[in-house]
Amino acid sequence: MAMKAIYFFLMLCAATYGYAQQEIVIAAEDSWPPFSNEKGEGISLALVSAALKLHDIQAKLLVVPYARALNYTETGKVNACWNVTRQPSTEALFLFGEEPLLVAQASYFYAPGSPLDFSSPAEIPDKTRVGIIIDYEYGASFSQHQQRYDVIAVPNQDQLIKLLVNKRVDVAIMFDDVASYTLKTMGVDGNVIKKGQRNHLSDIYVAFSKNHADSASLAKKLDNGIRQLKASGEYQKIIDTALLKVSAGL
Amino acid sequence: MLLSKNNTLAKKLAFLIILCSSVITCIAIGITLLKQYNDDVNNLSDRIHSVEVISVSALEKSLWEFNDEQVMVIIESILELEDVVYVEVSATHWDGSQYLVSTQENFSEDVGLMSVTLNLLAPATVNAKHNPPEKLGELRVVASLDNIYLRLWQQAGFIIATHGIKTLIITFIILWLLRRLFTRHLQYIAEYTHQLSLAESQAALTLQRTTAHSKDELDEVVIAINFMRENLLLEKEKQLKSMQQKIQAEANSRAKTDFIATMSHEIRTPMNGILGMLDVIEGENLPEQQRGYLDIARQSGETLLNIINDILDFSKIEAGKMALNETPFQLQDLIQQSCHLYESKAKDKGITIAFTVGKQVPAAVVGDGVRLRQVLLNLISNAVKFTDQGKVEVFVDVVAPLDVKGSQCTLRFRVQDSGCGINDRDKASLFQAFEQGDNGRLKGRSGTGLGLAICKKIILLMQGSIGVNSTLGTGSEFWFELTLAISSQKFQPAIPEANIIHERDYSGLNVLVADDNAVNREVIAALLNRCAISATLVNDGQQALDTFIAENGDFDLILMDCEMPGMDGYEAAALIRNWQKSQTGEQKPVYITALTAHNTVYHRDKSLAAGMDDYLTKPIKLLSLKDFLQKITR
Repeated sequence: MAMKAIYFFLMLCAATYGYAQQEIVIAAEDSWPPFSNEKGEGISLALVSAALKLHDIQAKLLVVPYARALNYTETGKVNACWNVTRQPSTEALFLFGEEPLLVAQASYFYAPGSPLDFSSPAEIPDKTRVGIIIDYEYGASFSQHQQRYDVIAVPNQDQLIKLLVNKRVDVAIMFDDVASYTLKTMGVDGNVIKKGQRNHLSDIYVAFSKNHADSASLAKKLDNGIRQLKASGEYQKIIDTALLKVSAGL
Repeated sequence: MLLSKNNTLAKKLAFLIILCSSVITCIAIGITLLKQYNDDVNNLSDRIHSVEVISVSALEKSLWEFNDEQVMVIIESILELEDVVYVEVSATHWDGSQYLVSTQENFSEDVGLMSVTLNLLAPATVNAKHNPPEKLGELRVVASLDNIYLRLWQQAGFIIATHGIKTLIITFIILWLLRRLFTRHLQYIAEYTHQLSLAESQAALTLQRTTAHSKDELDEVVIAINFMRENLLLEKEKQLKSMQQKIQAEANSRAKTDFIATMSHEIRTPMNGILGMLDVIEGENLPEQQRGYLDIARQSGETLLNIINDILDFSKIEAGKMALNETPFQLQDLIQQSCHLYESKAKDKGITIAFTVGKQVPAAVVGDGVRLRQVLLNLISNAVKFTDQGKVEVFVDVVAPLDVKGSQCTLRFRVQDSGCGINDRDKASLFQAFEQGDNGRLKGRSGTGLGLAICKKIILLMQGSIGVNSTLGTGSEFWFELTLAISSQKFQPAIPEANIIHERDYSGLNVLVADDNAVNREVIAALLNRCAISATLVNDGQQALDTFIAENGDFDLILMDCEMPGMDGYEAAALIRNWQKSQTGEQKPVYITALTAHNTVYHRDKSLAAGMDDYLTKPIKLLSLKDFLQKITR
């Protein structure tokens, strides 16, 4: 009788375990809309949630500034953070999957009427006042040349736009979608700044903490989920829906 | 104890210490608080300006980067600075609009505030190469001085409390020391000195100081007080001796006065018997030879009485017992009566006597008429005595004009005679006692030599002067000057001498005579008999009172001796007057007259005060008695 009871309890636990949903904590940056706004919502959340859901994994958000998200992930306080550009410097700190979460284009922006028009970081003269977001990655070429510039790093996208408008920086590098979204949130016309050529295309990944044992597994599951979404055509729908949703919240 | 009710020196010292300390404390508080205030304000200013160092760069960078959140964070951080109550940043927005970021105002303009406004410039690192320094806006930091004021109050309170406690402690210590070293000794000295004036046998002052010490100011005071004590004791001893001497002198004087009074009384009493009886006998029909003998006896008695009177007067003056009795009197009457008394004597010597009163001489003056009459009689008596032919004249003139008020004048009295005159040697000593001039001048004239001396004493007593002008062989002029008050009193006109009727019928008068001396009773009874009066005689005051009451007051006149054994005359007179007042029915008025051998103002006043109406002195002569009876029955 006692053996029957123990067997029944073990079977119940196994069944319960089989149906339990896995939960991970992701640090969501708060100032890169429409990918991740001040609530952590946006395109990144929609894609990651959909991809992980396919593996029955639920993402719990911790909304922090981007630099803090990187730090939390690096130290293992959270499982992962998103919107991280994969480059040697970040690969040294985090685990990345194979599939980028999304691909974002970053361009040069100028003040209206500015004669400048760069096509690569190498063209930017020395001591040029270049506006960027603190701790953002702007590609390996930018990292190579940024020592020559007067880099003005600010925490928010709108500041780059304001600096451009007031000609306090000569050029700012912003992701196109982010710049467009920020101009909308500022309620100004897109012509207040001048968009130039592309600086780089950035593969945006979810960076997993090396301090978590299941990070590699999670990275593979996320890759798998993204591939399934792209294969099913859900990927672009999710991006569009998320973009509309975020824009509607303005 | 330290601030006891009488310890005023300690109170004053405590008050002064507290006052001085309070003033010093107030000044110290003022200086301290002023310095503290300046330090705190400077410190606050430094703290506010430290914002420039600490926060302005970050603020400028945030403004320059349009990092509103950071600007707010910096503002909040500035607000965290102590005493900062308000921070505001005014700047130009990225789109050219003005914008103001500030903390909530949590201060009142009423309190002290310190406001600092700083210019915010674009960061130099950014602008150094590309742009000139650009003013981004202004930072205004407002700090409240509340805390500074609070600290100042606390500081003031602390200083006041500490200084107050310190002052009180120091004050009590000083007062204790003052009490211990000074005031208790002062109090002891004061008590000792106070008792020193009361107790003669007090020991020398010694302070109760237990510890050995060098000589100080208190010891000097003790030495001085002990020196003073010795002097005081010596002075008291002298005073005691002086007082004893004075008491002895007064006792001697009283004894002398008593002796004089007794002698006067005792001599006058038998003289009353002698002269009175001679007066009685004179009225009898006597042979011519016996009448001559009787005249000699009467003159001798009167001379003896005059001598006795002179001696007694002189003794009284010498003893300072002669008092003047100032009353209004008619001057011309006095002179006339004085001359009249010597008219018969002058007539007997074949000389005339006359008087002249100046026109300006007032009719009545205020003075001692009795003594003035005594002087005049003495001078007239001398003039008659030393003039054998010619005349004696009396003059009275005003020698000094009336004073401004017209209340007094100076009169000059002169008695001129055509006698033998006085040589210059005698003139110098004429007014001295017991001096009578040369023997040749006095040849055949009697006298004690006291008359002129008494005159001089009386005139000096009246604040006047007296002298003599004389040439040997041509006569003399004795004069005296007196300043007398003028009296406005109206007197009855004097009855002309021719109209005076001495012989009247007094048989209807019911007279009571009280005298303890049997001789005197006999004399007065005989004199009254000569006036056809049969008197009731009693031996003392009690009998007089009893008789008066027994007769239901049916007496017209009581002649009352003053000094009687048992009830004296004063008491008897007073009781008779009281008995009269107690009677309800109408009482017959009775005239009570003292008849005494005392011839003093004191006894006269005492008699009048006892209720008597008049005062007669012994020895009384028949003529005087008749004048008296005529006066009271007029």
